[in-house]
This record gives sequence, structure tokens and C-alpha cells, in this order.
Amino acid sequence: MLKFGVLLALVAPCFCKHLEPAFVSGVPSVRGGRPGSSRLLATATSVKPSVYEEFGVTDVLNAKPFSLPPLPWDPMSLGGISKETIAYHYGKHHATYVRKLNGIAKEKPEIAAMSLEDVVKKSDGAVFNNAAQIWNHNFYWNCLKPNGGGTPTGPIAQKINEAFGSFEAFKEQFSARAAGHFGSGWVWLVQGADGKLNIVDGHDAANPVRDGGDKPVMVIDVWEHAYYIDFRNARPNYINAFFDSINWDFVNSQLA
Amino acid sequence: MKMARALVGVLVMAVAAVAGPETNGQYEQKHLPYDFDFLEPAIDTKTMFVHWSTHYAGYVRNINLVVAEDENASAIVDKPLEIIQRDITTLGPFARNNAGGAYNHGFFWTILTSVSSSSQMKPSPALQAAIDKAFGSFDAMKESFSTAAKSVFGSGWAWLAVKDGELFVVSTANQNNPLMKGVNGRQEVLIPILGLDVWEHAYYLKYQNRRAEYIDAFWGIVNWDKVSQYFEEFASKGKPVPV
Repeated sequence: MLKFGVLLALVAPCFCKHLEPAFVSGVPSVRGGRPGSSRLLATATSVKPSVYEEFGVTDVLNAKPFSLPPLPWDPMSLGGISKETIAYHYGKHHATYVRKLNGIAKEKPEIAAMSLEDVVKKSDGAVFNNAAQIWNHNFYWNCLKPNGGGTPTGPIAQKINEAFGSFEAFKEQFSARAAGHFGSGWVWLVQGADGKLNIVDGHDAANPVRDGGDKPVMVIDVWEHAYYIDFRNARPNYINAFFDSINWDFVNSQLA
Repeated sequence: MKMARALVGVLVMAVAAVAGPETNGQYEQKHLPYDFDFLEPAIDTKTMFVHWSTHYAGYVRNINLVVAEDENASAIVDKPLEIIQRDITTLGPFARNNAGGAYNHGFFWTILTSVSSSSQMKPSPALQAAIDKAFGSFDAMKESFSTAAKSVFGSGWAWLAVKDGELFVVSTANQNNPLMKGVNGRQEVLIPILGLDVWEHAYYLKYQNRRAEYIDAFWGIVNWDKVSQYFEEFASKGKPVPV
């Protein structure tokens, strides 16, 4: 009944080492825009226009009133997170949330007149879901970069040690929260009003921006679409890949 | 990256094949009533394998852990899986999530069949009458169910379920189901006779973000003989379907 041999043939691993060239887009610099704005750190020119054409999102990059932000890095190489995943995650899921919110904005001029952050803070239901998912994904791409990861330096390192004892302890706790979140959602590293770091997990589209108390500093997407192509149900492996790609410069820039 | 992915795929299957189905606890991981490729092309072989051998297995394993190790779980010891759903929320989220997952998936496999078999089936006269009464027509019921399935935000299920002999389309979040009291803001219990998993793991390998295509394909593999049986022998008599 198992037809294991057939399945083995289907995945047919060839045990040759495959190395993709690492694309280094340069150190991202902070560009205007408050935290929570939909603008990203890197300039759009660091990713070739052909990538956006390939993903079918050129129209959404320039859409109004809400647009898909450019990616801060070339999706050719992002540790264990494949270009194929990015093509669907950014090119389909993220782009569709933007298209949907623009569709809503067409019917509701009051939405069209708001900033993305305001829509997240003031809306409910489908309007909130789409707006928050746009916000969450905007933030998520910034938390990643090619050749990222490693042990952080700068203020975030100090804050992590203060809150968790060590980076290893932090990684263990954050990973456990990310692995343990049941169903769709996001796991956030936030900075409280007292300046201390904390880990919160939100279901579906929920994010700390909504309540306004905590300041998001880093996020991992644990919706299955974030990892299923590359890792199937093995979410812990995806979490490791995420840690290997963290953009600690961006995380540092989010601290108050 | 494709190589790494393929390797993970092999490892997952190797572990699952060696580990075998969960049979050591109160609840058994039920074998599929068919081969993994039986639902092609509507649901692909790889998805059926990963879905059955990892996701479903995990829920069964975990609810068995609750039975074995949770000292508050005496109420569910030696009780059938379909019976414990009703008050499962009183045992907390871990019990609810995994009891629900074990039931929902055990149920799901049975209401699916091959494209060729399904094409020979239709609702029984009794079920069709109930469909007509509740929705006006079979197509209207399909429309209502499909809309519910498309509208689930995040992870969840769409159901065709029975209360007092009448049919309703409902959706539930995560691994909840209509048999559970007090979920999704609803105190009443409904008895599912048809369900569709719209967690992304149910369709992502073949359909990626195209959930609507997956829902369309689902209509081609429904085992209407089973669904009709569930309606006539269980749900319309107020009894949850055993899996």
C-alpha cells in the first residue's frame, strides 16, 4: 500500500552539493519613514525589475492607495528559504493582500485616505486582516537578509542578554514559541514601554501595532505558506533557517 | 535549495515509514481507506502522504498523550473520539487542538474518494431532500460551502453539518469542529457529514495560494455514498459520526 519506492523516486535526491551564488545587496541603510511605514530599508534598484516582472507584481509596486513595497534583497539566496517560497509568499500572498485592500479602499474612501498603520489600528474584520497582513509582511522581509543571522551585536545584543540571559537562551525561547504556535500567526520580539524585550505570539494577522503598547522589533511568520514549500511540516527547520538570515541591523534600528 | 528540500522530504518519509502509524494509545491513527495516490489529480500523492503521516499522526499522538498523562483527563478515558469532542474545551487548548485534529482528519479521509468513483455518486434521496430544503439546490449548497471554505482566514475547516435534521454550512478555526461546545462563539453542537481542510498544509504543495482551485477540485472527489450514510445513519439521528 505504501508505494514507498515510488515516493522515493518522486523526491529523487541527488546527493551532489548544490551551491547558489550569494548575492550581496550591500548594507541596508535606514531610509526616512517611521517604523511601521511601508517603506523598506534598501532601495528598489538593488533588486532587478525583472524579478518583479517574473513575480507578476510590477503593477502592485506602483498601486494606490496602498502598494507592495520592493523587496530589500534579491530573492535568489536567503539561506534555507528558497526563491520559490518568496515567489509565492511575496509575489502571491503579500501582493494579494495589497490588491484586496486597494479593492476595499475603492469602495470605502475613508480607508483610502488612511495610512496603512491607521487602518491596522482602527479597522476590524477583513479590512484589518488585509491591512495587518500587509504590515506584517512588510516588516518580516526587513527582518531577513542574505548572509544574515549569527550572534547579534549592538544594543539588541545587550537588550537580549538583559531580558533572556543570553542569546542562546533567547533563541531557544523564541524558537519554542514559534514552533509551538498552533495554526496561523506570527511570533514577535517586542520592546515594552519599559524598554524591555518580550516575546509575544499573535494569531492569524494579529500584531502589536494594533494595541499600540509594545513596539515590534523582529517577527517570524509561522503561517504554513511561509515554510511549507521548503520544509513541509518541519517548522523547527524553518525557524533555524530564519535565524540564519536575521538582519540584525534592521532589528537594532527598531529599538526605541 | 531544491536538493535540501528533497532531502528533507526523504527524511520525513523515512521517519514516518519506520515509525509507522500511531497505534499505541487509546486512539488509533486510522489507515487511509485507499492508497496515497488515489485522490490524484485533485489532491496530490505527496500531500496525502505528508498530511496523513505527519500532521494527522501528530494529532493522534498528542491526544493519546493527554489521555495517558493528564490527570484531569479522566473524563475522556475509554471514550470514543467522536464523543469527547463535545466538552473537550474544558481540558484546555492542547487537548482541544489535538482531539479536534485527530477527529477532523480521521473523518476527512473517509469522505473522499477517487475522481472516477465520485463521478458515479450523488447524494441519497434523503440527503438531497435535506439539501434542497436548506439551500434550494445542490449547486446552491456547493456555492455556500465553497464560499465558507474560501472565507476561512488563517487555518480552519468548512463543514456541512446537521442540527435537528437540518443542514447548515459552518466554518471553524484551527482544529475546532462543530461537535465542540463553546467554540467560535457557538454553544450549540452540529454534526458534520462533510468537511474540507483548508489549512495550507492540505493544499499548498500542489495549489500554493490557489485555494479556490483546491476547493473546486474537492467537489470532484467527494464520497457521496459515505456522506449520505453519515446523514441517514448518524447525523439526522443526533449522533456524531464515529471515525
